Amino acid sequence: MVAWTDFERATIKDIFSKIDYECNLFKCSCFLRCLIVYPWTQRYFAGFGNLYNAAAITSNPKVAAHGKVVMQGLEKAVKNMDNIKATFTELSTLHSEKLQVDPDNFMLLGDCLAIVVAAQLGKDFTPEVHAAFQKFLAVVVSSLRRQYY
Amino acid sequence: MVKWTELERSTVNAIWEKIDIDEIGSQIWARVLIVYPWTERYFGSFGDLFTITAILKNDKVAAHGRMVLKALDKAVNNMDNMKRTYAALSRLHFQKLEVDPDSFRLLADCITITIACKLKSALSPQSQAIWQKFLSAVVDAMSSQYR
Repeated sequence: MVAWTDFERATIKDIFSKIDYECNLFKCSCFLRCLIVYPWTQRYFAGFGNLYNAAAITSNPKVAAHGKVVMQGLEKAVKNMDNIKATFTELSTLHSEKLQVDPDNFMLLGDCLAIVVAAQLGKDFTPEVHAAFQKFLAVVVSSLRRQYY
Repeated sequence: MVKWTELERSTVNAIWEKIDIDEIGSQIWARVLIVYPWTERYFGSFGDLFTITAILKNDKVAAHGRMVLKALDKAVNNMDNMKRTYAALSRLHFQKLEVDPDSFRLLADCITITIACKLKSALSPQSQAIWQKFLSAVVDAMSSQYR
């Protein structure tokens, strides 16, 4: 089980309380960013319609909706920091067996989330806060990878 | 050789113009040492790196960060010839400093995060994509003399 310090717990909860959800759904979603910065990830979203350029991706309602699903998943992890593995068991199985997503992509999404959080927090995203957040992302990614074999 | 479009060249330059090497350089290196603490192994001669406070106050850390960004400035000005620009530096890191080349990627990530903190929403997804292409070319050039 992952051991969290009080600082790490407080930091993660604080970050998620400060995330601008409005911005995250429509303009600065980590999911939207992932599709643009790592374009090969678009292969998993053939049913989303027009993803041909950044403008299309940014205005695509299915992209916004999926961005919301991703954030809701992460919020579950924030509420269950002592049991992220169990929280994500089903999601991990889904991504492995049904969606057949390359697990390397989880870290790409994590990287985009770090950038979005850094951009929103600015100078408040200090190195210590960054380190705590990176640890949280590593645990989330590891939990999502866990059911892959 | 990496191909750059006009948009990519102007985006990299536009981002770089907004970066104050003295201000950002010191932050970047502290961030690498704090977020990826195993990188401290390369800096035995830097003195006190035992706590986050010590790292943030350490003058050698700040100076090293500024030095790294000055080297990055060379890449911005030689985007068509990064491998040659960094050949000697790559050899130094491989043969003399024995730095794990994976560390270059960690540094690149910290540079991008620090820039995101500074530029905020001005680092749009498209700009981020172009900046990360630029940094992957830098990381590639820095790894080029490893064998």
